[in-house]
Amino acid sequence: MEIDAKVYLKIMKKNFNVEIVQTELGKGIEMNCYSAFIYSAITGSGYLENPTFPFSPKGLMKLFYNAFNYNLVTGIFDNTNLKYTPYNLYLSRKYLFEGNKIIVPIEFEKEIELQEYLESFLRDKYSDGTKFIIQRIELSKFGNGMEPFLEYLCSEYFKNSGYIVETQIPLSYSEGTPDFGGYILHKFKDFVKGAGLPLNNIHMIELAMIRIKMESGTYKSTNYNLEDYFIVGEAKAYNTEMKKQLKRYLKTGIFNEGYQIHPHEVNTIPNVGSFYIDKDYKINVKQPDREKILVNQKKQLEYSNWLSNYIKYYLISNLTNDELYDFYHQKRNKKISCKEDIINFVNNLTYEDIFLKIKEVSNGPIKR
Amino acid sequence: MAQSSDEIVKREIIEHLGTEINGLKLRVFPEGSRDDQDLFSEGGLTFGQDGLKYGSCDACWYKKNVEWIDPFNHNVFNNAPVIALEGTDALDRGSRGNAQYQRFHHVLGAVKNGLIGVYYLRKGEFPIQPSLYGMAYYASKYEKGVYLIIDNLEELNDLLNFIDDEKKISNYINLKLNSMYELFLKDFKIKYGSWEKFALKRSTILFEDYVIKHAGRMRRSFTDGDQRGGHIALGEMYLTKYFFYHKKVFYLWPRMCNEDIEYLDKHKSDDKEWNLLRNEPDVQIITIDNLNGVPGNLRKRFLSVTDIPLKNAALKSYNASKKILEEGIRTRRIQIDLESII
Repeated sequence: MEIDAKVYLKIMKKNFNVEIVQTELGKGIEMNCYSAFIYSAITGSGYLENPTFPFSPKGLMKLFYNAFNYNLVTGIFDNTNLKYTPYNLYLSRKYLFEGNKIIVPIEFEKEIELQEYLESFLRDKYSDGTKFIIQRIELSKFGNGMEPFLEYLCSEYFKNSGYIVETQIPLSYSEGTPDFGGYILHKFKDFVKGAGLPLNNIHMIELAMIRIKMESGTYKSTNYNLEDYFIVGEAKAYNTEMKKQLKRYLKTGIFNEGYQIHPHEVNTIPNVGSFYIDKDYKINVKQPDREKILVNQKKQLEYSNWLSNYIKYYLISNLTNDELYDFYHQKRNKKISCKEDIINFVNNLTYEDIFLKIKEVSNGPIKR
Repeated sequence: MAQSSDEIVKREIIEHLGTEINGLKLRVFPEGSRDDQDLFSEGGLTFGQDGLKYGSCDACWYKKNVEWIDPFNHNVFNNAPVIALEGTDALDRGSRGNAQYQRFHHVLGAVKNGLIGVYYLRKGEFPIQPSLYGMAYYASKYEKGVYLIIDNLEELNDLLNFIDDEKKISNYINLKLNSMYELFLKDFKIKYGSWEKFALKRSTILFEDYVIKHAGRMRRSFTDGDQRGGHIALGEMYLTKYFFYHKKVFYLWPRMCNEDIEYLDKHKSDDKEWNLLRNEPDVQIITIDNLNGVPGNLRKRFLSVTDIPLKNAALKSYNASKKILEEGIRTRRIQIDLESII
C-alpha cells in the first residue's frame, strides 16, 4: 500500500476516529493542539507560519549525543540554557497551543512547486496559516517519504499499549539510531503515584509539555504498574530492508523485541514482529516469535538507569531559564557555570523534586 | 528517521533572517528532502561547473527575475543566486578534527560559480579548525567567488544587508578574509612554522611545480557507507589543493592499485564525492601502480594491508612502508609514471 493523500486520510479516520474536514488547502483532519504538536514533532509536518519552511519542532528537542552518557547536544538545551523546549516554543509561538489544528496532506513532486502553492495560498486566501499543518506527500520518493508518518502511527499504537515512546533514540554511532523505541519502566510506578503522571503511557516529548497542559487544564493522569519491557522499531515506507538494522539494535541486549514498521505486513523473524496497515487501513501488529532471551540484564538495567535520568531532562525543561537558575541556586547555593553543573544537578534530582517545582512555578505568572 | 544538526541550523537562520531579506529570497528545504541534490537552476541547492556537480548546500539567497547563466550547463535561468550556505552544528557534536573539512565541498560549487559561499559552523564546544580558515582563504584567492567561514549569524546578516552596496560588501569581505587568514597564520606558525614542516607532518611531499599527498585510503572505505571515505578523502584533497593552489596535486593511495580505481569508477559513477575526487581540476589520484621504482617487497608490503583497517600490526607495517616510500619519492628514486595513470 502506498500512502498518498487519500490513503493517509483513510488511515487517520479508521484508526483515530478523526473527522475529515474540507479546507481551502484541501481535505484534512482536525486534531487538538497538544496532539498536533506531538504529530508535528514526530512527522516533521510543519505549521504553515510561512510558505518556505513551515515550522516543525522535529529535530529541535534532542538531548544527548548518544545513550549511556550525558553529552548535551543543541536542542532542549543550548550550552547551559534551555532552548527548544515546548514551553519556550509556546512563549515565542503562542499559536502552537491554541485551538485545534488541521493537518492537510499535500502531494507534490518538487519542493519549489509546493512552496509556490503555499505562498499563493497565504497571499490570496489565508494570511494566517498557523492553524494548518502540512503533511508532505513526496511523490518523487519511493514510499512518498512517509516513514515519519509510520513512526507516528507506531508511536501512537504502543503509547496506547502502555509504553513511553520516542522516535529520536540516541543509541550510538556504531549501533545506529532506531526510528522508534518503546519502554515500560516498572520503577516509575511510585513516581506515577506521587505525581499523577502517566509515565508509561506517553510520548517522551509530552513530559516536557506537562506545564502547558497544567496551565490549560487539559492534563489527565493514569496509573500503570508493569514490568520493564523495551521494544525497538525500524521504519521503511517502500523497501523492506529492516531486519539487518533491527538485528543490530537487538544485539545491544537492551531490547526485548523489535518491530519492522512498514505499510505492508512483512515476514516476521525470531524476536522481530511486524507493524503494518491492513487492507482496511487499520493498524495491525504481528507479534514476534520469541525464540531466545535477547536481553542482557546488566545492559538493560544500565540503559534503564540512564533512561530514568534522561526522562528528568524532559521534565526539567518545563521550567524557564530563570526558573531553572533559581531552582539550581535554591538547591546548590551557587550559579550554573557549565554543562556539567546541569548534568550533576539534574541527575541527582528526584522526579518529585522536579514535579513539585513545575507545580510551584505553574501557579505563578509565566516568566520567560 | 533521525534528524541531523541541519534542522537546527536552518531553523535558526529563519528565526534570525526570515525567508526574505533585502530583496533576496531564501531557498531552503526541510531535512529529508532530496531536492537539494538538484542544480539550483533546476529547483535545487547544488552548484556545479562544466558538468561537474559539487556538494549540495543548505540554503541559498537569490534575486528573483535576474538572469543567471548556470556554469554547470550554461543554461540561462531567471533567478540569480547570490549567497549559498552550508551550515552545521558539528562543533557541538564532537567534531574537532578533519570532520570539519568533510563538508568543505558543499559550498565550493557556489564559490567556483563566482558566488559568496558561506560555511557556517554554529558555535559549540569545539573551536573551528584554523586550517579550515586557511583552505577557505586560499580557495577565495584561486576561485572566482569568495569562501567565508563564519560562526555567527550576524555576519551573514551583514553580508545580506550589504549585498547591493559594492564598496561596503567588498570592504566587508576583504576584512573577513584577512581575519580568516590571521587565524590560520597564527596557528600555522605555532604548529608548523614553514610549509616544509607542514609537508613533513601532513604526509605531503613538495616539488617545484607539484605536490604529492599520500594517505592510507582503501577501496572499502569508499564502498562502505558507514566509513564516509569519500568525504574524508575529499576534505584532505581540498586542503592540499588550496594550500598549494599554484601547484598540481597528486593524491597517492599506495594501498590501492589501478584495478581498485577502475572498480570504484565503475561502481561509484553516481557518487558525487567520488566524481569530485576523480575530476577536480589540477588533482590526480594515483596508486602504487602509477609509481616507477617501487621495490617489489615494498609493493608487496603495501598490498598485504589492502582493505584491512589500519590498526595494530597492519598500522605498524603501513607506517614502516610509508617511510620508505616517502624517502624514495623525495630522493626521486621513486617517480610518478604519468602514462599509467587512469
